[in-house]
Amino acid sequence: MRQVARGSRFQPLFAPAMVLIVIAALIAWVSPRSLHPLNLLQTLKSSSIYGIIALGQTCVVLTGGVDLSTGPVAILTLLLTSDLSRGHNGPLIWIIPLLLMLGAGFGLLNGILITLGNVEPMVATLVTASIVQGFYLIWTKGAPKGVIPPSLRLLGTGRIGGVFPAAIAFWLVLSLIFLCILRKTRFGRCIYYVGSNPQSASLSGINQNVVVLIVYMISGICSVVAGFVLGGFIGIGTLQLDPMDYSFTPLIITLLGGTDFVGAIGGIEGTMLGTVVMGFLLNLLTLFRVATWAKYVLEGVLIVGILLLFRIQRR
Amino acid sequence: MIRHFFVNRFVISLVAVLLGMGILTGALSPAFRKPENLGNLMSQAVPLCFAALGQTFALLVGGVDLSVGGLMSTITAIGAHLINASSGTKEVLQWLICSIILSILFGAVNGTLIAHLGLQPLITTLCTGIVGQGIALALVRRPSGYIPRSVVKFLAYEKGLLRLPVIYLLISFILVLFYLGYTRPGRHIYAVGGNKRAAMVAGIPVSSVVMKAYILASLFSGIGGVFLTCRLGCGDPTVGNPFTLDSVIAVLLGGMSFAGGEGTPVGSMLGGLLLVVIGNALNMVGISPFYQYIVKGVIFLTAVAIHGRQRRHS
Amino acid sequence: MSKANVVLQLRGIKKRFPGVQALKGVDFDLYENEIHALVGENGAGKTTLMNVLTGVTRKDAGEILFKGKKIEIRHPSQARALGIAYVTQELSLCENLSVMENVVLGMEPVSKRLVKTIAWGEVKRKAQDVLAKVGLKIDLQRRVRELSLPDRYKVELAKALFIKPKVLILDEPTVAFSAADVQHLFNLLRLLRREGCSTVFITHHIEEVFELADRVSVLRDGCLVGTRKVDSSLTSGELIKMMTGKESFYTRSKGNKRDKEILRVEGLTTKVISDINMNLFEGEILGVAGLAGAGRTELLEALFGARRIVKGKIYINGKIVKPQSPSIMIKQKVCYVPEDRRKKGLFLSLSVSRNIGVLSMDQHVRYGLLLERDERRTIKQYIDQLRIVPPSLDRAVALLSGGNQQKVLLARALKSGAKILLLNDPTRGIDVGAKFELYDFIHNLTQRGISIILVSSDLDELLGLSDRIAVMYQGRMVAILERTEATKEIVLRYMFGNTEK
Repeated sequence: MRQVARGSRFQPLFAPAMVLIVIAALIAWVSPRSLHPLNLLQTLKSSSIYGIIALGQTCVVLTGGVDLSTGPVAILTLLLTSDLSRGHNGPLIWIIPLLLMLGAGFGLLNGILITLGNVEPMVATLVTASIVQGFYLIWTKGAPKGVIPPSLRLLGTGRIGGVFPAAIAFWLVLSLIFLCILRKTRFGRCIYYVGSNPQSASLSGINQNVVVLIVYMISGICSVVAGFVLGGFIGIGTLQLDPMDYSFTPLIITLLGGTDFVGAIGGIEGTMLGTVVMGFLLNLLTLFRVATWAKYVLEGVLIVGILLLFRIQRR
Repeated sequence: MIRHFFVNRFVISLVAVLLGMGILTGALSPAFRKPENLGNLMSQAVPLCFAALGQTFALLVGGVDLSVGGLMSTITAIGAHLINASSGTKEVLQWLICSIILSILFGAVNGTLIAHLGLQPLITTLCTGIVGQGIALALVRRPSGYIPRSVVKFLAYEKGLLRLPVIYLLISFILVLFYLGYTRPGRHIYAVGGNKRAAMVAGIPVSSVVMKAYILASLFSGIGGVFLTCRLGCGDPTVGNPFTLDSVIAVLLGGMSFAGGEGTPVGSMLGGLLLVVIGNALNMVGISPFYQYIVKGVIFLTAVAIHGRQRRHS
Repeated sequence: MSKANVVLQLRGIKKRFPGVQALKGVDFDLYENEIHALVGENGAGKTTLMNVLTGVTRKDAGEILFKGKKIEIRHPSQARALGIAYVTQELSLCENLSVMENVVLGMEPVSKRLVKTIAWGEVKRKAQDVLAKVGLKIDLQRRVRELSLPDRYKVELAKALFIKPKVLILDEPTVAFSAADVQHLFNLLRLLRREGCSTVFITHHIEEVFELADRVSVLRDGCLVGTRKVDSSLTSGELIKMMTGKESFYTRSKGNKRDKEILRVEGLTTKVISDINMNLFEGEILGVAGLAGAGRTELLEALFGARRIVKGKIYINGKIVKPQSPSIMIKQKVCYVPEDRRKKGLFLSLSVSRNIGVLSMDQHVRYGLLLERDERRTIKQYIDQLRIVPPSLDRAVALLSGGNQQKVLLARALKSGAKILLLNDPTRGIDVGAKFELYDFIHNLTQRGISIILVSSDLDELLGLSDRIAVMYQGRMVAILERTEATKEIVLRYMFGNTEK
């Protein structure tokens, strides 16, 4: 077990904060205009979708697991919302609860595989990802139909007071709710206990399996919510997106935020910071007018670099 | 020693399932039974089986290699660049050498980050894979290039049931069996996977062993990529992606565990074969390829239920 | 004995861990052809000293001379290469490999052909030889994970002997052995002594020192108290005095009057224990003695709801209770403090505050939210009461010393309002001073009306603290003795299954 001298709960945030400052400095150097508040907000918009998924992912990683099925679930939400509503607001009344339950259901499947089936989380969630992908490929038969209703479009592209993007506000609100849950509720504490030492947690009366199950269900629900925002963003169901991008990027955000698989270190604060860092990272890549291929390379290299830095800092 | 590799419950169950599936599909679809299909099936299995062989090394030392897909795609892309219809043996050899060097490089990078710098295998190989994906995209934006069969004849000559790729696979398989069963470095891989501390105390250079394992993992995935290219006939930047998860599922079906130190190359190969047979069988019986995802998932879940896979404890 | 050759010399070894100075400048000599016992209480530093010698831990200061030459050992494999073999308490075997592979691990004989394959025939032969010496008759190809603990130990021993060591270090080897195995081991060590291999033998059992050792060194609190020749002039009393620094042991001042029966167990049976009948009075300390594997931990965990109960009834305050899970028992004000506090009790990566508060979160919940300020205030009170050092709520518990970590667990139990405490080896690995502090504290708890069931491997601790002592043997409770009638000899007899009065 790593021995972390926890002076305060903000200590793990130090490294991601440093990274953010470095990246912000780079952006300022290349294109000072981008640091204008309005442009900053624009940066965060696409990152907020990853950020919402990352909220659930944080809870999962804190318990020592990982959820790689989040991407396909988000895409599933996108496709089904588009297809079932056909652009009308009305059906949302039953579509939203239905899809939320579906997300929770897939999360439950993950949870059961991991707790009762003793399957490694990575594998279990990848298998679920596979099943979800198969499911929506069969449903759409390769040709997505429908359009996203206006109310969701408002969520994705609207601006509060004409200025502040609704998507980011939504992400902020959700983040604060999660922050509250993890830091101020009994259940949030239990997540940390289970992640730190499952055996001790059991002997302290915490039902380890229930905590893990719930955590994966939360992740599934987050994926669905993110899918709604994604729908609002794009406006139409599509198969052009890479589902695993919405699985891996939130995981990267979580790790960048200082949350770790081992020892229940980290939390939502870090993930929020990580979301901002990722937003700036993606923006930086666009600024340098980097071709898609180079984005991939840079993303991979940067993340490894940042994780190495964290590791050195932790020694 | 080799006896243990062959006689274990995973191998036996896989053989049973394969036979059962083969008979069932054969009964349902005459097209399946045709020798061309069976021969085709074996050729189709070659890339995945190589990837599974590679993944075996990664899991044996308690890790995983998620850069398989990116590496394989890149190799097809390089092939598209170096080889065209008028190419001769020289270009093909250039491509082969490039591919091998690239594979070793991938493995060395993974190994260094994981063994010497202590990063987690999951996220590290994931990132290496992402970089690989990027390189592939840099070389070919979409499936392109033309690599005619005739040019790569000495690699991929196929006539009737004689399939060169399968022969190469079998040779590699035997070499791996020998390496893992009869040589010191091979046995040390098992030791490190079983109990790193015990291996270290016994004087085994754990970091070197892990490094070696990741290099071998990427090497075999790379060779899989070579044969994939021959089958494909062109360069495709995303063709390798399914192989990442599939190779993991294949080795798990074959009896490997994320805890490390468990499993045999026999099981991994059979697992890979099973996945390909499922795909082929579904095709022959007329079920849409989209259902493959679900079927694979269900097969995996059944395997879990029967074998009760052990989870790695952090 | 003429002036013997010194094969190993340790001078001024110092080692510090967070929160405690484990070795305070220890000297140690090992002669050729000798069996040297190393004794001391839990936490005295015996294992740490050997860890330093064999490169498992780095020393802070001091030097090591092997055969007269100064050496620096930075890695366990270096020690092995020099001919110093170490068999630790937790075995380092590769469970997934076969017995013979484990024996030759790292030194597998290879053929002399071009391609260096492992010569399995030779492996088998050599492993067979050394395993026979150790007294293990077994199919060499069996996986170690299938083996029982004593057999695994023998494989580990064979592995040590395979390198033909000059120095063999055994850390508490007889813990899992039957009497026959122990004799076999002793004969083996005597044989090795004749063959030129010296043994350092760490043990808790003084009888073993007298039976086997040529010399004995006593460590206490990180210092070498002295080294004596084991002959007729040495008495066990003298040894004990050296180990504990006290003439006598802790004796609890008057126990409480026994009027209220707070816990009653009838016919409790699980997979491991059978037909346990006992009771516990308010304010009482009931000690439970027994050998490893007798079922003491099982008993406590069953009472706590962490084990499946096959048969039996449990009454708390006269009302029947079904311990189906720990959370139910916690609500019944029963609290369990596990024996391996690092693995089963504490949350090492979390803070002191989090560790103390885990059982009593509900006390501070209002409208679904935890009131941290309130909680922290209460926790601070417990930290002060138990004198937990350093008194910081946010310090990672991993950085505390063993004694303070144990206090954290006690604070946790107290904060949850427990009336019945189940303590499993609470003073293991804690230095003497901290131990006595804990004893006082445990006594004070009973004065406040808390009842305790105390499992311990330390008979002196049990005899000093308990009002009654129960003895378990092979899953059964074979005796419940009053404090006045219990002596060490009687308890030991029951522990070994001899039930005649």
